[in-house]
Amino acid sequence: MSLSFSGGKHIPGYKHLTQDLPVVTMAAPAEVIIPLSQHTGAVCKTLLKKGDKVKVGTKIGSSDKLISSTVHSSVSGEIKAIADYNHPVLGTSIAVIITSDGKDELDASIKLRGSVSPLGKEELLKIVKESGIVGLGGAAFPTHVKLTPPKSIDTLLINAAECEPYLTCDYRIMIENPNEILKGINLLKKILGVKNIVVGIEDDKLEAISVLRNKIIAKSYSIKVQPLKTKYPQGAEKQLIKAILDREVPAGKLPFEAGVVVINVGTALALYEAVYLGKPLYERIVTVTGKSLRSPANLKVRIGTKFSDLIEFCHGTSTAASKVIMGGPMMGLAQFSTDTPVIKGTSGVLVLSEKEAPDYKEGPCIRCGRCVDICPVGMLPFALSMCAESKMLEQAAQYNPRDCIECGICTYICPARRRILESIRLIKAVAK
Amino acid sequence: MKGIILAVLSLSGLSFAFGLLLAWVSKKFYIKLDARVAKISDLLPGVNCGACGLSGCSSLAEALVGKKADVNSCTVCAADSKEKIAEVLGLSASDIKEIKSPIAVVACGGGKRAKDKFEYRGLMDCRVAHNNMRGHKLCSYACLGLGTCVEACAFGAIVMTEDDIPVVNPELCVGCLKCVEACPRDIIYMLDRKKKVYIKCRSHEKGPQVMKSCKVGCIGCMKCVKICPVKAITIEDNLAVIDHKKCINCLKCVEVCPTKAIAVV
Repeated sequence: MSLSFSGGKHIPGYKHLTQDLPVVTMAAPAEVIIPLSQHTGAVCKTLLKKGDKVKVGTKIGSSDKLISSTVHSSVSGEIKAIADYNHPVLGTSIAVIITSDGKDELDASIKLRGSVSPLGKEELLKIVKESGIVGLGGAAFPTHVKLTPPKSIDTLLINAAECEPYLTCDYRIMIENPNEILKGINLLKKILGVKNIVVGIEDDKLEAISVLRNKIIAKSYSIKVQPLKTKYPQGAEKQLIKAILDREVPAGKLPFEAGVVVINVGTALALYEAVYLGKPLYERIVTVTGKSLRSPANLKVRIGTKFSDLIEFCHGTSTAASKVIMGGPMMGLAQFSTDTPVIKGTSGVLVLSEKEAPDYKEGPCIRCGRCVDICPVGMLPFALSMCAESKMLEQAAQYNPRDCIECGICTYICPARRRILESIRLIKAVAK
Repeated sequence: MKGIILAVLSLSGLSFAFGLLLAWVSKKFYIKLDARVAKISDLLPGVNCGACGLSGCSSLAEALVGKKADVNSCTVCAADSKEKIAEVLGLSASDIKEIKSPIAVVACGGGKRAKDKFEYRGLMDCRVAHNNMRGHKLCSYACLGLGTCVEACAFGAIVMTEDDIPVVNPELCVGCLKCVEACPRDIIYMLDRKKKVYIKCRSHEKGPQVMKSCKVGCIGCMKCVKICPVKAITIEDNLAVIDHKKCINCLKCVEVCPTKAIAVV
């Protein structure tokens, strides 16, 4: 039986555009822009300077802060500049711009590990940190921090729900690389020392469920694959925990408070590659899709490839694009330029047509209550939106704005097209 | 019938007993209120701006009666109501001094002249716009011009000009810091009323970068530093900074600034 949480809604997926297209590896572009801030936490510092030679996988930035990660070069070549550049989340951020020499030489540090079983927990964590592995679902939280929870935990959840419409990158890797993913999950199991492991997949991805189940049976791993109801936001961390384990994570707290660690399925694959192949995180799968695009695809691209290069690789646009979004259409961020690099948290690049992303006019709240019915955390979104409209920002605190996970389903469902999520963000910004 | 009489009697008995209890409690635990607090509260402006450093007008009234605050702490009060407050408190007219609060100035002259990075279509509030990719202006220090400070001002002292830049009316500003708190870009700051000159830019970008995004920003050209007779201006991290303790209001820097980034209040 498919499990779920209360609230949320099945929304049109548009996954058919890319779900049956195998992952295509895109050649390294002539120039990559690698922002030094690709993750939640402190910005990396670089020891390199203009003119330095780098190879694929050379470490170009690191930080000694606890919540941070490392950044690696994704091409071999020469550093053209270290300067501010467009950033898909921060607007502008300091980045290392590297011109490729076309040779694609691997750094000397990248080599296959003969045997993995003697590696202990500490050694594995060190590999995770040094390989720059962060959560690939979108928020890019440093994985080595997640894997050292301050409280004891009993369950590891693998998030393969992929509830955002359009995106199919996680679905493709589950079909194409199930063995690698399962090996990655076993490494996570070793690091965390947990027995209970559940992979949560939405029930519209039946093929992925059966592929993973067959592999698990063949290898007799003790991993459970749990189908989940197809609805948004099923892949939100707290909703996933509620659906599978029926546990609730308090507002503003992390999942370890409920004894759980949630890792994205793509992160498990990246962990496998880092440990078995010695490969740092310098490339990822990106779903490039949207009805404006001539040929949507799932691409394996180097971190730092420009969005314009991806769009060009997909043969450009057939109709004028109205919006380019990084991530999914619900929680992704609209971009102001395609001269923006892919970062570790880029799960998709959507090139949406006028029809898919029309410009709506906001109307008054008609108190229909649809946002209350649908809110996955049981808030009163309409009340918050009206507080923001009438500038009663302090009074809005009684509606617990901090509970909001910013999934955006209230704004999606609103028949008056009110900008509810933005209002809640305003209230949150003032309450800080 | 008997039942009803019983109910009426028992309930009236109970209410009489509770009434007696309440009467006794209100006598026993009576808190003597100072009538002056209410009087002063009425005389204070009642906008709860917080310029006195307390949470609102009623807490200032309490502090005044409790001799924890000075009669001059309210910078908003009109002179005659201040006299009346002094009268209530039993102070003489000589205790009243006219305190001139510092005024808010907006350290950005960009507005429409500062180029946009992209067109912003979200909620018209600077705090939301700033959190979305750090604002829609090419200059990451620039005023976003959506009027959050205008809304924050309880005295109507800030107005938006045609150039989409807020301007503070020194006559109306009481120095309550509400606009400073509201501005997500940190470009409103307080200036002593005696001082006339301030830098109308907060950009720490290098000169050419400033010129690219806006024509009225500080480019760090050092002209003002050289001309200042009292050496009150320095360039810190590509931005001119005036030491207001040294400034003598000679306005020479205003004349010499090539981008008009130094302004007069």
